[in-house]
Amino acid sequence: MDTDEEKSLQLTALQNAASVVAARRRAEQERDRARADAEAARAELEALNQVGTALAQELDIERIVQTVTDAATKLTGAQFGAFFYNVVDHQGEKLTLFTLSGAPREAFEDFGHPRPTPVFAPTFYGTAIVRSDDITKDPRYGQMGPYYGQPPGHLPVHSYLAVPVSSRGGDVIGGLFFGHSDVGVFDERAERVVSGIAGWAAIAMDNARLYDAERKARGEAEEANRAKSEFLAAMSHELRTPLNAIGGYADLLVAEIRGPINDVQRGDLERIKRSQHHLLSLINDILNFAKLEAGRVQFDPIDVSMNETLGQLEALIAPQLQQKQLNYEYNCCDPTYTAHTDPDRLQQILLNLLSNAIKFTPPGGKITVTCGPTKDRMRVRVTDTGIGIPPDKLEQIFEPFIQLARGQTAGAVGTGLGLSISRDLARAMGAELSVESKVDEGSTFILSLPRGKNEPKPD
Amino acid sequence: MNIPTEPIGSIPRPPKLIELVDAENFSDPKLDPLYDAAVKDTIERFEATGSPIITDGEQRKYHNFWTYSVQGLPNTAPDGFKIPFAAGHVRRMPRLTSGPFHYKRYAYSYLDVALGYAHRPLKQAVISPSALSLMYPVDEIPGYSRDEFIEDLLSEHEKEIRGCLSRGAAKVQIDFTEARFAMKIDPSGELLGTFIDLNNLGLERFSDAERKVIGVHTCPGGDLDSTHSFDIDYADFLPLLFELNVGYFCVALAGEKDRARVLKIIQENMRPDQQVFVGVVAPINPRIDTPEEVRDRVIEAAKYIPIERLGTTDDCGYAPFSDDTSTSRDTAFAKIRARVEGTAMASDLIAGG
Repeated sequence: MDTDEEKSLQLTALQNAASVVAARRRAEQERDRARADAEAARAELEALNQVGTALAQELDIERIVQTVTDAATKLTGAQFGAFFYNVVDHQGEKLTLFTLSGAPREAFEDFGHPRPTPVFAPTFYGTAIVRSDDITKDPRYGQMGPYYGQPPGHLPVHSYLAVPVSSRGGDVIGGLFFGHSDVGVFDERAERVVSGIAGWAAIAMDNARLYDAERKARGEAEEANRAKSEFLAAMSHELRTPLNAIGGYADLLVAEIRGPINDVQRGDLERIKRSQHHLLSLINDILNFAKLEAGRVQFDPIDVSMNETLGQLEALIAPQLQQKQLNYEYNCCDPTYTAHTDPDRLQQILLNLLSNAIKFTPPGGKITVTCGPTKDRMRVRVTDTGIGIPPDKLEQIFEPFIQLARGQTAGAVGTGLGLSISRDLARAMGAELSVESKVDEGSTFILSLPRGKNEPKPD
Repeated sequence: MNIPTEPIGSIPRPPKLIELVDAENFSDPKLDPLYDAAVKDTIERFEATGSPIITDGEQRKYHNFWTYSVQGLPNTAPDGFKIPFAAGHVRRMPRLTSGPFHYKRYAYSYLDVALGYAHRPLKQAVISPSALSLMYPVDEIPGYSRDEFIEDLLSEHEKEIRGCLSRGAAKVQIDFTEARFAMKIDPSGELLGTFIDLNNLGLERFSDAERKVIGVHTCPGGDLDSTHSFDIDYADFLPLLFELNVGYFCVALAGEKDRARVLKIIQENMRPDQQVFVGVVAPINPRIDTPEEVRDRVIEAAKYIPIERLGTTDDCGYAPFSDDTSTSRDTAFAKIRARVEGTAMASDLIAGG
């Protein structure tokens, strides 16, 4: 290779070097652009995630639409954005409200709501997204009077983007509108972002409406329940007064204060008294239940001696036991056992359990009461050899106004409130009432109470 | 741990192929059976040497490793730059006469044939963008700027490497034999610096994982058992060479006068993420090296290069030009076998197998 050739080869290579530098610059620009695009995409994703998270937690329509409008206005680079949305007010009237971002409310208040002009219609009818680099050059623009375009005083709009917001059911909830005074501001990315946000907004607004409806329904149900309880309490009270009078006057007659009565009359009066007594106990049950539901029952828990409480029961139910020829067994429990509970309510529950046991146990049967502690509970068991409860009814019997089918109750009658009241009372005192049973063998009701606070601890 | 070993690429063509192929007919489909037989035989004999990675011996590269991709392009003239060799003969590059610039053929087309015969991983060599960049003349081509040419050249280079990788080449080697030649023309290193910049631009188009299997080969430029730039010292350009953003280098070493000096320069300049495959047999020397000689060269190299980053190779291809008859196929494969066996012996000694 001669020197001239070497020189020209070197020259070529060095000229190439300039092109290499240019190529490197282009590659770096490309890389920078890719990096900037990636960064923009990341920021966009992060912003969208924030909006998504905010919307997922929000159940207030006004806050939802404001969050959506603010986020979408920022992400699209719009000068201002508006969200027109339809609501139904408490009187059932349909209204269109709007929220704004990037512009004061006064900037739009004078124009009224946008009409379904050729430009706006696709948004309000939910048929299409409208995106324009310059809406004033769009063939749909300026087709309707009186202004044939933007009304005087309107913020100048060239770049325009409008996306309908439709519910899952397909109803148009509203529309998102964005404007900028420059041309060519909204690109495909902006359209994509707003479409995504519009989808989320629709879901969030649907959820908010469902939540509102559910809250309203729940409020109404609670109100109805309260009214029912109040009615029951009032009615029971009103019924007891004349019933007491019936009982009182029957007593007067039986005591022959009004004059002598014969045996037939005495028998009739006893029947009147039994019926009066039965009716009174039913009304008392209803009154108790109503009070419990209305939260009007007072509890005064103290440490109660179990042996003392259980020992008193037999005397209280002796007449019924005798009448039905039932055996009763209570083996005294450890005198140190106590439960932390309201003594009157405890007795009320136990008497209810025993009264049920008597009611559902055939003559010659047996009722047993036992008591024993677990680590932190005191358990009282009331066992009978009665008709038993089918497995599928074990939980039902604690529901108010539920009784087993007549055939299964051996003619026993009542309000069906006893067990419901007992369980409610127990739970209100931190206790629990449960049942174990076998049909035709009998049932055991277990009352599990908190142990006494001052009970001596075992060594 | 085995010290890896791999070939550079070319194996002398069978005499009949050399006799029948010329610049007019080299791509005639009628010659395909002859080429295929040469590739098949080369691969069989390559595998018989025990070489864990093989090549197709570049049997179809016409006329040489430098111009195979542009040979016969209609927008070229044959009067490009001359590449001089010490023995006095000259090879010429084609000169680009108009744009746009595209390869006439890509090295991955050779892989399509070789993969049909190979039972071992294949390596494919491609020419560097810097070598082909010298096709653009000193005076600008009207209507086709130098900038456009460089952009086209890089795209073609990327396409060729991606094609090799996607077809399953285990390794791709960029032949960069003009490195030493560049230092000879421009001892300031500026010219070599521009070559490296250009090649790095191409390499940047690949991921880190892809670059791990992309290497660069440099040597004095063996052809007809002579060299075009043997009088240039490695010391002058090895530091620059390691600026190439590749996973490994194949560096001629066996034929160097002062191997220890070269190894020291490599030691001082290689980057922690780079492997160096040192040449342990010299194709330019017709004598068949013994495995023991090879073993000793590996042990010598291991004193300078961490064992986990050391590999062995041939100093150069055995016939980078298609009509090279100075080395026989038998000699080439015997030298390769010595490389493989000697490297295994060194592995046993140094790395415990």
